[in-house]
Amino acid sequence: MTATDVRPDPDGPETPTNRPPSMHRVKNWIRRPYARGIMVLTVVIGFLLLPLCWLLLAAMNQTGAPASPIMRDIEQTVFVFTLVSIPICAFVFAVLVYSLLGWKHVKGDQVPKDESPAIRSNTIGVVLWTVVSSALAFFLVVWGLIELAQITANSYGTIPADEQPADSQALIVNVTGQQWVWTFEYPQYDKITSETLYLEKDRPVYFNVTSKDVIHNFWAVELGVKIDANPGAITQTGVTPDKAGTFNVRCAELCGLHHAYMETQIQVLDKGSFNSWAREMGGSKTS
Amino acid sequence: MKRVLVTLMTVVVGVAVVAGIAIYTSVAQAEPPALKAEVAGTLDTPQGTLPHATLQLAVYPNSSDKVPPPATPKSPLGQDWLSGQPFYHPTTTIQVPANSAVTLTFIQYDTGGQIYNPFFAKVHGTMDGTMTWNGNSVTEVKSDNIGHTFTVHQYPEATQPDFFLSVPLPMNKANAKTDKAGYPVDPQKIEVTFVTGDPGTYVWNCEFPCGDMYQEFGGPMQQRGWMAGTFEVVG
Repeated sequence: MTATDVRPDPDGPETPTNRPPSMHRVKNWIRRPYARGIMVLTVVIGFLLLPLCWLLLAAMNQTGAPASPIMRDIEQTVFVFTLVSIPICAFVFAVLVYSLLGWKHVKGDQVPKDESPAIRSNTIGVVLWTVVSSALAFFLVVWGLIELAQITANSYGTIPADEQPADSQALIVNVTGQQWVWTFEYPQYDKITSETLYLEKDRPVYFNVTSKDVIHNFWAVELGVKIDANPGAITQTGVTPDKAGTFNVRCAELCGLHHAYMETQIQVLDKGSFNSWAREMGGSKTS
Repeated sequence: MKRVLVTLMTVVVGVAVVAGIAIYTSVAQAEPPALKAEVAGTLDTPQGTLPHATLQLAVYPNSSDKVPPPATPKSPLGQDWLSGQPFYHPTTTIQVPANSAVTLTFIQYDTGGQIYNPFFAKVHGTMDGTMTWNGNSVTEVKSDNIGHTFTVHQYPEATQPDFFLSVPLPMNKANAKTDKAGYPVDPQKIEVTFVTGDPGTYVWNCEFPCGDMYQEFGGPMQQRGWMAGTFEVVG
């Protein structure tokens, strides 16, 4: 055996080298069997999680595709956050799985042979870890803030209540939650009231939401609207439905015996159909 | 061995606690026996001539020797927490035939007052948008003259037809002449006819705040057998 055949034992003590110590320790650490095992597991679990997440995101669409810009923003955010979370989730599960199964061969109090120098003392490793984590968290915060601002703007949440609606074309709907029925009043149409929510496509709508008894939560699923209905108070939000069809309203706040049945439909109609419905209900005059 | 036993015991205790809660909840919210609308003849409707079924319900302000309270389990502490509260009689589980005309008759013995939401002072979902109140056809009742409502709503399953029916039941005056049991001798009589679609299971409840707690939406309002129940359209 010549001197060139002597290869450093990855599990043995570190040997002096001309390379920077930190980089050397990172490379040395990566050569450890358990580090390689965790990296391989991370990749495998990551690829397993991808179709699983795709299935979960597809399941979210079971109630129907988004019917407003707000819901599209929300779905986009969920998609991006899920995608970014996959490698982190995969790494955590990889460490967990390896910790559970990777040391089964070690008997009793025997110290594992391939125990590594602690990575916490490695400058490059610590900096890399901190920078990547911070960049990831910062990306999520910035994305979240931008989306929140976008959704708030689309919900007309920045307009004070006494100035709503600034646009005279907007539709106002007074939403009342009551165990266990939703009712919708249209003050611009002779205060006609319905237990089904009728909206006009591409026309902004303002919701004034309240409750007659306990706290409910007005959730227009495919429109991306979700706001508490509190007794004795009015909460406000808005949306512009941009897709005609039948959608769902649910209560998202546990509110008693028939909470699970506190559902109704949203009918988003074109202008002509909406006006026909309003006239049929006796709401030909606007106030 | 000890570790296995402790783990096993923990699982057994956990399962027992969850099962206990589930059994209590199931018993406490058990469905009262169903009352079936009987088909007797046919009726001409906008949908054509349909089988015609009838059914009668009564609303009492409280139980008495004459009218026993609904058979509802007592609270875990043994309290009869719904004593003296109003209830529908004889049951709150109602079955009506599918694709038929159904006439419901209500005999209303309770007093009342102002309903919080005037939407439920109007008649919704009947064949011609009206109800018969003591022989007169009306579409709504004054919102400060309501005793109870019978409101069937929504669709628990997307696969069954939407169904909404709401009938305001006018109140009796507080000084109305009563019998020995304390019930008005001349109660309010309300009759509605509606058309059912395909089979489905719905829930119904009273939308007049006649209970206690939570803006008077607690107590009997939250209890099947009292002011809430199941409405089944059966094939």
